[in-house]
Amino acid sequence: MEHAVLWERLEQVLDPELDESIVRLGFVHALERDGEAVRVVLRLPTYWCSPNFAYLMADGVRRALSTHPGIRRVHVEVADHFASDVLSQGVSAGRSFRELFPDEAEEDLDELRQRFLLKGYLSRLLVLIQALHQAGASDSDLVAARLGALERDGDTAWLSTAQGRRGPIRGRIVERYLTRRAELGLPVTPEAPLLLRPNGAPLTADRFAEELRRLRATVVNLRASTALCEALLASRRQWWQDTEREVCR
Amino acid sequence: MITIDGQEVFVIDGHIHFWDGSPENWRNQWGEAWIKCFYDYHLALSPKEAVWPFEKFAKYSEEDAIRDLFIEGHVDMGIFNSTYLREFFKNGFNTHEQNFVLAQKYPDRFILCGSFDPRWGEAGFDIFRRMVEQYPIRGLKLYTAEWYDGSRGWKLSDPMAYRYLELCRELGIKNIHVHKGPTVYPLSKDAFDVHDVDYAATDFPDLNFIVEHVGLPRLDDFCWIAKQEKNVYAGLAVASAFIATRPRYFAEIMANLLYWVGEDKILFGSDYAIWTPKWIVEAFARFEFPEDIKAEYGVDLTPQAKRKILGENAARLYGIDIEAQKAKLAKDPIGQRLAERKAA
Repeated sequence: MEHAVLWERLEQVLDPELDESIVRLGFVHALERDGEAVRVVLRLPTYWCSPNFAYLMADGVRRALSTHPGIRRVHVEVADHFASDVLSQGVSAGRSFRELFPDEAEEDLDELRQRFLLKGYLSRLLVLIQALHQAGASDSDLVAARLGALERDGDTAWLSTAQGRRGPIRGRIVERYLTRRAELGLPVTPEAPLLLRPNGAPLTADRFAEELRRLRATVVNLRASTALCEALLASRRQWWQDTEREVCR
Repeated sequence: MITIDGQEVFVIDGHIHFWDGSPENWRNQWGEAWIKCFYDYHLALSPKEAVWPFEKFAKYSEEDAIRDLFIEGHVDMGIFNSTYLREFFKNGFNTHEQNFVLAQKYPDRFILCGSFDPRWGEAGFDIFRRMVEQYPIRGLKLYTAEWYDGSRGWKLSDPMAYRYLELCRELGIKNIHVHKGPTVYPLSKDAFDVHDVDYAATDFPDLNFIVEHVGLPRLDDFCWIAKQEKNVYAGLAVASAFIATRPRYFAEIMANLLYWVGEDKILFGSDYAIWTPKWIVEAFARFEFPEDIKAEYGVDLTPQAKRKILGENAARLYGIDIEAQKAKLAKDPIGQRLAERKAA
């Protein structure tokens, strides 16, 4: 039971570039608890995964678990990575990225994190639009709608329009969109427009098709990268199996 | 050549290597990790029948390369994207010197790219000039994530990089292939977009910049830049390998490129030997967009677009007259082997 709660917390840690949970992506190789200490082993799709992203994920793990009641020490290991030692020791000691890579980090990670929060937002926005389109909502329904028109009902959601209810769509789509919208500091009040650009301006009817195409490019990039990372991770397992066999011998 | 819609199409593989990733050449653990990572890419996207054992992948023979590219792979000419990595491999991974071994034997089949590294500083100008004098260097491959003397990367917009680009102008090198794919370093946000290409392309409008791997995983940023800059091209290596096992993603990537960049500015590449061109070229020749993608983007991968992407665009950049080149190639040793094969 306790263990399941820890996994749930890990589930909240995202790969910042792929905007997906590290648990769902299969990056968490081990989670072990020993009293007040937790040890997590991360294995990323390549040995060369950018250390800034690796840091964000490893540090995300530390933060997610260290606030759990009863946990006093979180040891995060980034295995089989070119900066394994620096990352594992540094993150477990709660050190900042700049401290770990003083010569190479030209600016703070916050800017990078922000950039990918934003790309993730664009992706979540497009997924919402596509789901509502498929559920019968027209472009004009969407640009006219306010957040208050979204109705949640368990795992499903609906959009009420002047022509009636559109739906159902999966509740998770709405939740992911609203979560990120709040993280970016965009309004989430019922009277706020349903569809907002990252700068806070509403999407308008006249340029809707063009905007969708731009969103689409960002999402295609993100999905292709995710597919590649998943395939690379699957390929990479062969080396670990070899190592594990050697260790057994 | 590959037949598309009943017509023979000339194929220039815009991204090939002839590397030595064997353990004997590993300088340290990075060399081992490098070739193993490449092998993961190979396994991740190759169809089963095209998978090699690791030992062969680490070091393949001249005959393997000739057969995989020209005899079986439908490729007529290949562009060597030399990649040095001297800090990982004793003799370098895939230097222009190594590639020249093949280019010298089959001069009409290969376009040889050299390179520069702005971190060589002014002292490197002579090295660069000598390289261009001694080898038939027709383009450059730049790898901004190369490790060098404690530094782990550079940017195309660095002032010293500009000095080298000026030297390219002077020496008549016009085509600059830039690796903007999966990156390790530098760590700043600049590693995750392709904006340094944007600066260089604006400031050197007479040079062509071919962004290898279409910026993946920064495809969207790449598209905005390539749309604005007339001299920025899309190199398909890595993206093309999605075609067999992830065709839907391939279609989506292509649709975006056709919409934002256009069919005149996309260059085919297999990234041989990460992947062999045979299955990619054959699938590309057959490929058709799903109807929903055609409708959504308003673009199509027509036989004409395929012809341009597979060969005509690269031929234009490198000043190759395809008909004249075909006549030359028919007579070289590879052309003769192909003719014998056809006769048999």
